[in-house]
Amino acid sequence: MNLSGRFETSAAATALLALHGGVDALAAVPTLRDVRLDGSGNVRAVFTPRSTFVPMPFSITVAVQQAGAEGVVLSVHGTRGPTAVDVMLVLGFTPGPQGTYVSWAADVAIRGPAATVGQRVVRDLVSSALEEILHDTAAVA
Amino acid sequence: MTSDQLTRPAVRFTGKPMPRKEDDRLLKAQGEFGDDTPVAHLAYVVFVRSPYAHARITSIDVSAAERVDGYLGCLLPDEVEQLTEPYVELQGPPADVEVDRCLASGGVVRFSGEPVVAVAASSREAARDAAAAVVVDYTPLPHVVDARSAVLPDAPQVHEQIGSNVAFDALYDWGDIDFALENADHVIEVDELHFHRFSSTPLECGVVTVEYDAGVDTFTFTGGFATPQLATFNLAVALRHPANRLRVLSKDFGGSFGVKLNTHIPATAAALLARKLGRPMRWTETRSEHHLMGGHGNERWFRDVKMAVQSDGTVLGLSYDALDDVGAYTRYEPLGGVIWTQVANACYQLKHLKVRYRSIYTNKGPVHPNRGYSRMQHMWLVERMMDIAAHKLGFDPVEFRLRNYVQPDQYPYTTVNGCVYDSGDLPLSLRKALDLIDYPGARRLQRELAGTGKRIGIGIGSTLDSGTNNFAQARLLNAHLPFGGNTEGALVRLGADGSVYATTGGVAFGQGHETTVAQVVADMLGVAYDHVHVQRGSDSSLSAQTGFSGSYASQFAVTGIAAMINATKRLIREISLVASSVLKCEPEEIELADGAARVRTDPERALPLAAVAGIVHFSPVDLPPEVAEEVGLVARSVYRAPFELPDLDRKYGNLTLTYATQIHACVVEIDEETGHTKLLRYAMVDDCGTPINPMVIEGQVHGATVHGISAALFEHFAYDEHGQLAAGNFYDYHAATALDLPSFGYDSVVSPSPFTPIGAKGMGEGGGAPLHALSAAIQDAIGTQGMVLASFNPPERVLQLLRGLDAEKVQVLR
Repeated sequence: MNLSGRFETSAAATALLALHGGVDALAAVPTLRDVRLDGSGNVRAVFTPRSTFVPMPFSITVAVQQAGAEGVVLSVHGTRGPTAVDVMLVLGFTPGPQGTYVSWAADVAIRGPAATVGQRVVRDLVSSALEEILHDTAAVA
Repeated sequence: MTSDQLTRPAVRFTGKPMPRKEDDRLLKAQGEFGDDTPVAHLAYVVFVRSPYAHARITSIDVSAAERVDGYLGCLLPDEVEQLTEPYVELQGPPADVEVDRCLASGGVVRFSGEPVVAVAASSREAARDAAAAVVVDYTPLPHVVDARSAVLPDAPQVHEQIGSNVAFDALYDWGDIDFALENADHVIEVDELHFHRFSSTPLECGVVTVEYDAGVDTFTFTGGFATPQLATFNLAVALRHPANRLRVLSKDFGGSFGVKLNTHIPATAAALLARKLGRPMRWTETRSEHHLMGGHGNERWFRDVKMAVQSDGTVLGLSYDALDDVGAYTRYEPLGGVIWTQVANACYQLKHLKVRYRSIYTNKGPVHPNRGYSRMQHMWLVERMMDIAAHKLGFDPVEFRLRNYVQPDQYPYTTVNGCVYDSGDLPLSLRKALDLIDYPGARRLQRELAGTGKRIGIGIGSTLDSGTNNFAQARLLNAHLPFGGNTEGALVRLGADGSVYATTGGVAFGQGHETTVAQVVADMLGVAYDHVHVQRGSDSSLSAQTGFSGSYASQFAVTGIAAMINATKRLIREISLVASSVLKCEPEEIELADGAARVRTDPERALPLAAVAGIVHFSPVDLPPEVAEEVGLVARSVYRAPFELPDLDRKYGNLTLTYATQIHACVVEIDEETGHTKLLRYAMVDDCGTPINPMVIEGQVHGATVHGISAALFEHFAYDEHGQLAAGNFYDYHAATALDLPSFGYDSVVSPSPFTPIGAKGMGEGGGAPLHALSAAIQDAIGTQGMVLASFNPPERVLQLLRGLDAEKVQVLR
């Protein structure tokens, strides 16, 4: 499943890039809790998207695959019980009048009940969750 | 009592549409299903399941689950490896090294939905929340979801230790198909056909409750166990626990259709938790869980199919290569690799048949036996080829079948592999089915609507329901398996008040056993129908059961009823002994009628059965000592089906005792714009020998027909390229309802079986006749511009057929 979007944030690209490893800043994202770095330097947290009908906390691991001034490639792995979500997320940063345009493209694989039972709504839910976490994270940069 | 006596005028209930004893409680919601039974201190089990089709488990973190209120504990794969033995595998080397346990084994998950952790909590909701909080990390492994890919040399291995994905590989070669194909007037060749994956989706999903009594070190299992003694054996091996300390019970259960033959697997996990945590445990399967691993029917690819046909329309035989996709674990498989041979000839006088059959592992949910198990796949292929040959060679599809059917005067008919079809009248059955759909009228309608955007198609489905297995067939897949023949047991007793109590070794899951048993026993004892009390459900601790006891393979009307007849005969002998000593006559002079034992030549000299019971139970001094010491008014008996061991080298011998036949016919209307298939008329004609209860038979025929129609048009357990099931609930897996179906036309033919005590045959599976009939009807509507080579034909596929799908895969070689 391929998803994409674009939004503008007041943060500079350098501030966005600095978020990786910035556990304290990420802890301020309202939908994240228990944010920490694991032994491999990956960010681990519990992410509870607002866009689901009922609270559905996912344990997530975020690893940076590639980073540069113009963007970053992240692999995100999330699990909740029998459901797993794997996202390869490509973020592109370009200067904008108010700060930075963030364009994003995600290759998403859903596994478990969300792929079977939730297949009719999962695309919209994942898209909303990604929009939401990217906006919220950019806001704390 | 002989079978003749059952057909005398004194027979009042057998053969009549007696109201089902079960329905009173079921219709008033007073049945007791798996999740209904109250149990003190009960805890609940929920499984954490794999989201991956194939992955290595790298870590399991249950710390968050431990913080959930009500959490009691969990069971991890490592514990299961230490505490259990792998389940017994039926297949021989090399695939016998498969390791299958109740939780993912060897640190690897092999299908999406496989249980990884079992979590227990004091409430169902807490167990669900705790399971959701368990974090399992995986490293994905390459997966394979298509059996055709799974047999390629570089395919990912589902079980690495086996060395390939082939669980079973056998060549069946009867007659001389190579000669037939070389010399036949015509040869039809089809590259590939596909029988899709679906299930019967019983109303009640799996449920099992396990109580562990530490004082006597005994487990009691209550739930949907279709074969309680085999389940006991499997549980004893897996749990390393003495079989005499296991008790397996069932009460009401809401359907099995074969898929509940593997309940021992989740039961193992529940048992381990019950012992570990000291509380009774209940696991109640959700519908989505059932779709993931409750048991899919066998998916099969037929490749390189060739059929030899003479110019006069005589079909000589066929050959093909089968890849049977069994999913990630064999479980009851690869028994399907021999079960299909029970119906090797399908309904036809084939002389030659050659099949290479392979059971293939894939990263999908395991298959379980499913209504029409393994036989309907082969019969669909044969019926499809008959239909394709008729279309391609210009034969009338009705006449083509009539010419090739086994004819009424050929019974008992020995098939290419030595099975013996007992009785039937297929031509009469077909004529009746065609009358029910007004065949000439349907052909007229077809002509009238041509060119209007609506196409009419007429289809015939001819099939068999082979019943009462010869378990020696298991030796055809593995000569070391210690099975042969078939038995069933029964208990009948006269209680102290003269009431009749009957307990069958069979397990009812909706078929009406309480009804049919009561009919037969009431007639034999000369008592009222309501005077016979048939035990609900089953209990492995009662001596009614034999090792093969249970309900499967369309056999209760033969084995269950025959065992009951044998036991009732013993009880009659005891009653006669008592009555003759009181009435001062010989036991042979006693007959049972109107609730009494009486002297046949002087009916006024009679002793009510209540008096017989009263004397035996409360006043044995009134009996001669030799009678009092012999009579307990408890009769147990076993029915042994008359089988021999097959010739293992030739794979030849009789594998089944009875063959019910089903001929279905239908008329469909296809919308050229949408591809929608509308059923206009549907008729089924069943022949299951002498009927015990025609209403029960008709009900089961209706049920099997709905299952088959639904499978043909709506139901498909499809997987995506990631190995994810695309039909995890009834939104995406539509099981037909009355809204989808027309009223059915029904008729019957009665061809008594010469091999069974009262001429009855097992029935109820239906052999997938609707799948055959609908494939044929769609083909008839399409013509030969596209070829129906798949058993599942939803609207999108029908649209493709209208545009020529698969036409190039069928060739008339000459």
